[in-house]
Amino acid sequence: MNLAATLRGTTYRFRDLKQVLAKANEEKSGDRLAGLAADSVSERIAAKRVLAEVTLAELHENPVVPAEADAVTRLILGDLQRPIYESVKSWTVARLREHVLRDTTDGPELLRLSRGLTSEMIAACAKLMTNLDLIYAARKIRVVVHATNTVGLAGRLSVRLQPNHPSDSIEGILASMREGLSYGTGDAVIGVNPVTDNPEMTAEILNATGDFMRQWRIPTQNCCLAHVTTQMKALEAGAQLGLMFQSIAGTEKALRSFGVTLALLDEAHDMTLKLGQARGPNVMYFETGQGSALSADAHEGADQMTLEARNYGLARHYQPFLVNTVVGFIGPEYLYDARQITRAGLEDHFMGKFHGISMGCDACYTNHADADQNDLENLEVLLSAAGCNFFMGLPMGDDVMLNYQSTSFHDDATLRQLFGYRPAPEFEGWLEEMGLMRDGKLTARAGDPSLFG
Amino acid sequence: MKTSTDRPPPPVASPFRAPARPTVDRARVEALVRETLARELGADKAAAREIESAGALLLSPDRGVNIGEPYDPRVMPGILAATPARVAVGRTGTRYQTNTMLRFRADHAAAKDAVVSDVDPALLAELGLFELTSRAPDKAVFLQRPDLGRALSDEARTELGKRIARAPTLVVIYGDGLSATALNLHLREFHAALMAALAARGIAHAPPFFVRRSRVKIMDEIARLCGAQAALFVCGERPGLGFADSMSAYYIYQPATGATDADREVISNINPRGRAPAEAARDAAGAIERILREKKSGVVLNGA
Repeated sequence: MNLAATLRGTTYRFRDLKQVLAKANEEKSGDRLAGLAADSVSERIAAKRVLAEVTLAELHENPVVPAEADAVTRLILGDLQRPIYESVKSWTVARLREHVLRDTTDGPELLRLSRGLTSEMIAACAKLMTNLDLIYAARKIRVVVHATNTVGLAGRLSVRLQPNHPSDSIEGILASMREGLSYGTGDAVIGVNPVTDNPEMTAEILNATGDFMRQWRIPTQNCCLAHVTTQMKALEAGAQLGLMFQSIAGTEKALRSFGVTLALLDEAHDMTLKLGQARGPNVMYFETGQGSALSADAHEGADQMTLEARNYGLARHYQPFLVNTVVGFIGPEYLYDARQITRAGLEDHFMGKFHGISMGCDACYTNHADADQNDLENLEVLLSAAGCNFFMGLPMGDDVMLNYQSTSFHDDATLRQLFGYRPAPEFEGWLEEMGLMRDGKLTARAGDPSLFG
Repeated sequence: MKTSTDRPPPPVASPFRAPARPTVDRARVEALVRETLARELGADKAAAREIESAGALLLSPDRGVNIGEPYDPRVMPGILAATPARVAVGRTGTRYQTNTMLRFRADHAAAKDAVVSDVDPALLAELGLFELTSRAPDKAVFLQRPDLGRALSDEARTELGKRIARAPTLVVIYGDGLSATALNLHLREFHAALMAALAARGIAHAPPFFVRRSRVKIMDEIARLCGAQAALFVCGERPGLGFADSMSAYYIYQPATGATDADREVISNINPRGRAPAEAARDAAGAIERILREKKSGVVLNGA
């Protein structure tokens, strides 16, 4: 394997493939914090030059965490479609990138091909892509999933309604939920982040949102984003659970710091199929984000973008209904400003879709990041152009429980209008029957929470 | 993966039940909205907003007001009272109305200013606090490199050795954390109450000081460097959109190298709307007396 490149007379040498993968990344504060970032722009480009000539076989043989030490690596390698991998293993990363972007390569071909690719290969490809490359390639791919309704169809944009409340007040949760439904959001999931992580509170939230959905016959699925073990206890006790949620990470060590093992995810998946409310077959909801392994001090010396790709390699094993990269939540130590958040959002979305998973994005920022509402709206437009399956939806994007800003009900409605996107078909039918939407546009009645009295 | 577009059973014939009242009692709606605002802001503040502007422009109320005549005025006050979220703000097209957009930007501005502003040196002088710095040379680096905010600069280490006698019972440290605004507004009250409470309990302490651009774990290094039995570290919390002036007080007993958050206790949400600064200071003094007596810390008292 060639590990050196010369640019304008200066030769840059790299220690190993793992270092090439890290230094080829666009600037991210998290890679710098981990001591993995390129020292100069030229060194970054030299790393990309080296990476362009690396073969898929070399990436296959050099996962960023060795298989013997890591269950996530073993899962990804074990899921690989061998004949497809064998047919492309001699390709360089440059050839993979050009194949992805070629006019004659369509979405179904990319989904077929991806079954023979490891997460490191997909990450490597994305590292050679510009922002517009990432948007254009992601747009080709449609990942269609079904739980109670259908997400990911062409011309559709769905929304997770996120009606959080600072003290888990059921009436408070339902107030934001009423507002969101009146703007036509909630077709991806009605998902509440609880303050209190226990089975009783989780069941109470699930049953309250579930009862509301039943009363108003809303064709969607609910979720309470407690720890997976908490949700399992609530589900066993008979709570109305649509999707099973868990935050995941790209190394076994980081997963463990989240209190999660693959065996536990298997168990949760089985239980949701057997006891959950949604017809499926897709019933899992995962959240990810660059930097999470590093923040748990479990990044194993690997860069945050490659580890994020491995999240998707893990996720695809469970055919999730939703995977959400919470891109600006982690803070400026990992993604410093709007430019880094935007880049990471586009990378994550492309890498997720190329893995064949139903990819959405919590386009968001915290108050100590160098970003604001205008930056957030820009990212939402870019991801809408890229064919993102879903965004968040909050009252004016202000999460009064988690204290960060995300996508608002108004933004979701605007993006649909701007791009001509409609909600999930079952949900659109319901909105029409409620008189909230006509011909894909909100009616005058929309935007009034008192409709759901 | 399925692509079924099955529809659920059709909903009831008339989806929305008839509103409770055929006509809107506007005066009553307004009274209820004002009541809710007063509950959120406190009666004094809600009134002050309206009255004490001396002719300057105020942010006009949006929640429940912008929406005009709601479909069901009977349920609207309940919705507004149930959550501090920005619901019932109405729309123009699919976008925000202007007062709503400006209120949001004003709240975000307060949060941003809290992060990037500095603790006032005059305040430190007034309270008789000396100042040290972390290894983070400026705010931008401070935000990107939490590790640098957790360690004293070389000069600060030397200075610490000069200023503080070896092995104090308690070392009291203030830091800007993620909100200088919080300290600028509430440190005076907190510090006075803390000094009085420590004196009343007979807890000896080293001369208190401030560390610029510091994060919580810097208290561990400082406690080890001067051989303190216990350390107290008070700093600004990461600002939310609705608040930018909250502090937290962390305390720990003899932190070893590699001490984790599980070894630390915290009193959070210190601000006039949450835990009053003077009250929090007295609670901190009581808790420090306990950890010194029990020779251990580590029960997390989140907001308690």
